[in-house]
Amino acid sequence: MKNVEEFFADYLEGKTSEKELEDFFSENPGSRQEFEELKQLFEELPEVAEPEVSGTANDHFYAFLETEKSKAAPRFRLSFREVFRYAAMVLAVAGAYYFGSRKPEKEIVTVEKPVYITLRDTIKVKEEVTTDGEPSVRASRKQPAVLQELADIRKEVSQINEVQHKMILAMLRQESAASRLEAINYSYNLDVADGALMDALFLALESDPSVNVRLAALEAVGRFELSPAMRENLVLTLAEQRDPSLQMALMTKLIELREVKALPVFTGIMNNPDVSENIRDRAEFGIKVLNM
Amino acid sequence: MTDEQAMMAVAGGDLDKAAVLYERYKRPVLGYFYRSSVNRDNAEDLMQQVFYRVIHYRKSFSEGYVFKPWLFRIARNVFQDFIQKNRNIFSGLDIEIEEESSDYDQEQEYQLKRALEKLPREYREVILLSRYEELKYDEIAEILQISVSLVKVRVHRGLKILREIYFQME
Amino acid sequence: MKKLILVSWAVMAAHFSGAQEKKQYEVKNFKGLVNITGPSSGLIIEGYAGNSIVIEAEGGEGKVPEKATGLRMVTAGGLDNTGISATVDEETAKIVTSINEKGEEKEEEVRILNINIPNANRLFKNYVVKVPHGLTTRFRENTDSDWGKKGALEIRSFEGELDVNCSGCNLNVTGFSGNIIASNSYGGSTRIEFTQLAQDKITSINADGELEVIMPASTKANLKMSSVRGNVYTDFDLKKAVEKTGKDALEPVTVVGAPAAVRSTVEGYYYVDNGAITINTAGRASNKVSALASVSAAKRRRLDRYDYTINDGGVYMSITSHNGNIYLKKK
Repeated sequence: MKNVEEFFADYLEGKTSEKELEDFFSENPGSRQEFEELKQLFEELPEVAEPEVSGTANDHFYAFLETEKSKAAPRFRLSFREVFRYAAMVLAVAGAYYFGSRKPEKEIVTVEKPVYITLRDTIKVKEEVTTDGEPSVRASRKQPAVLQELADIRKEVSQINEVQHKMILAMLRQESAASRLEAINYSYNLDVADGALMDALFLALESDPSVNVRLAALEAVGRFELSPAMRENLVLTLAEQRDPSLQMALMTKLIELREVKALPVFTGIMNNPDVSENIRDRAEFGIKVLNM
Repeated sequence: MTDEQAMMAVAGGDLDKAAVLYERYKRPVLGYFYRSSVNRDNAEDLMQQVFYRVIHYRKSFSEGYVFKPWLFRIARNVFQDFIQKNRNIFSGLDIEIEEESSDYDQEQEYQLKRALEKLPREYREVILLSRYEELKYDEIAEILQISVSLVKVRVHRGLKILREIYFQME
Repeated sequence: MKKLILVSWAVMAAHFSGAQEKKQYEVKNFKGLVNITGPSSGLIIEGYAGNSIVIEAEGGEGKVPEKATGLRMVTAGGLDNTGISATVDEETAKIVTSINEKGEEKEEEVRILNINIPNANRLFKNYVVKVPHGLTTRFRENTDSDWGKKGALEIRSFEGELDVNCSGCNLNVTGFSGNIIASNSYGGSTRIEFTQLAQDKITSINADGELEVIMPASTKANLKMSSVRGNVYTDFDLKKAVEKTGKDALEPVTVVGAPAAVRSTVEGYYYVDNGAITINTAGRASNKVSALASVSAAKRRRLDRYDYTINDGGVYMSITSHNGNIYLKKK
């Protein structure tokens, strides 16, 4: 005998016979309505049309296919976009050194292979060769300078990230609530948060004097993958929170995170007669979802 | 030419056939990432990575394989890597939602989208694969490397949770 | 941080206005931050073009008992050191006042005036706090101000930055010029009428109940606006902000100091994106940025998350309500 889940899944795929269905429904009264409702929900899920593939992506694919065809599998794993971005750049830069300069005795051509550059540590460049296959002296002399420039930029970018972190931390310590809010908005510029920034955002969430700042901090930390300790922090914050809009927002976040450790706090809120009705309702809903 | 014939040809070194597969599946694969809450630009990057891997690992495709689940398994791996790499930024909630509308149907659709976003990933994944990629349960099981009955449990439970979230939002 | 009680500064001035006896207390020439704690109903905070903080109250029906002669009253807010049941004390604190491009903070010593206004009582009622224009002011509710929510918290003719939190009060702000960070959770109503919206600092209004925001028709703003359970109404011409993703979300950055040959050839946009440099050499000839190297930190990427713009956009302004409708109206 199939269990309910399996039976439902088969029903959804239309694999169950009329008779099987009737038998099942008569054995499980009440399941018919649920099955029909869930099926309807499934069918009503909105179409999310996929976007068109851009011309650039297509170009990249076909260019990639060409290079794949002409050589063995590449050693570096990079997205097409990375490969072609830097290939185009470096070739253009390299080209600049030849352009306008005295025509060399041997004609230098740029090999139609992509140049692999990762902006992590290694920078690898396919060799420029002369028409008879010898390495181009000019190319090997000139290119590193250009690449050095790229490396410098990379370094500066990481410095900027550091500055951004520092800036946000300092802004969060400002007296003006608007400045602290701005700091939190500003944190959206960062894709990666370091520990100090997360701590500062959590501190704002727990104890900022302005409710607006606390709400914004919650939204901002919610953007990041939260560690178990951070999730627990959210639960503790909810336990201590008296402001209704924050209670609401924290409960919503914890439900979304399916944080079962929040259950006792939810129960406490649900049974607290001093809390407004819509908040108690929310807690009740949370308990249902977390128990699922 | 079937997908499998094309892929076998690619595996055998006829790389031009990869173009056939690319043209057939570029949009579904892009759609898979897009619907999994990856923004458009990243989704396109990931789609390209999938085809890169298809070509790179072409020799791992062998006789008797079905192409579509094989492709989506790669897609899923690429997605996993992406999440791993972007742990900190991936909130899983950046599906772009069109403007809210007063029209009842559109309103309902909007709410459903919102509800779908809130569904935990393991449930959302099976529902997306089943509803939009029209994959069968055994194919989904193969992609996710879980048992067919677990897929079925997740479909059922996922829809129940979805209904719960949806009604709460109303 | 040192605290000093301002008893010596007390300037008692009693005068008659109509039939009601009005008393006031003044802190002359105050420049700094103003922290007001008080009841969220029956209090008026009024901005004015002066330079002293003035607290006014009307006498009530009650009288100070004879036995209290020579004694000072103790209120929920502390010791009455103003003669009108309010408590005022000043402290100084080092606070971060500015941050430079490198993220280094500059601290300054700032005066902070803490004003504690009691609920209307038998001795005094109808408190008014007058705040000179330009002073950043914070209002928080008394913990015991629950008793009569029927009245309103009135804020009039304020100019500067105002940070106000209350829960379930009827917040009515009129003739406001500056930026406001307001939260009114747990019911109540909120009405904020701007004379001018500051463009240099952000505004954020979070309400639980009905929220009405009135601004001059020409106000420029980037709006984040939503009500969870209510509707939003407006007569402003909202433009849906196009959410930028990927490259488009980034601002072009000027890079300087590259070799001439490079400068002349590689033209395009340089984007700073998550530690990687993206160089877009394709198209966009109309807005070229040339050359490599030093990326200016000033042109940092900004992603203020807003939904709409009015009058081509301006300062970031968030307007949200949980349960009530939002009315955003032209003045």
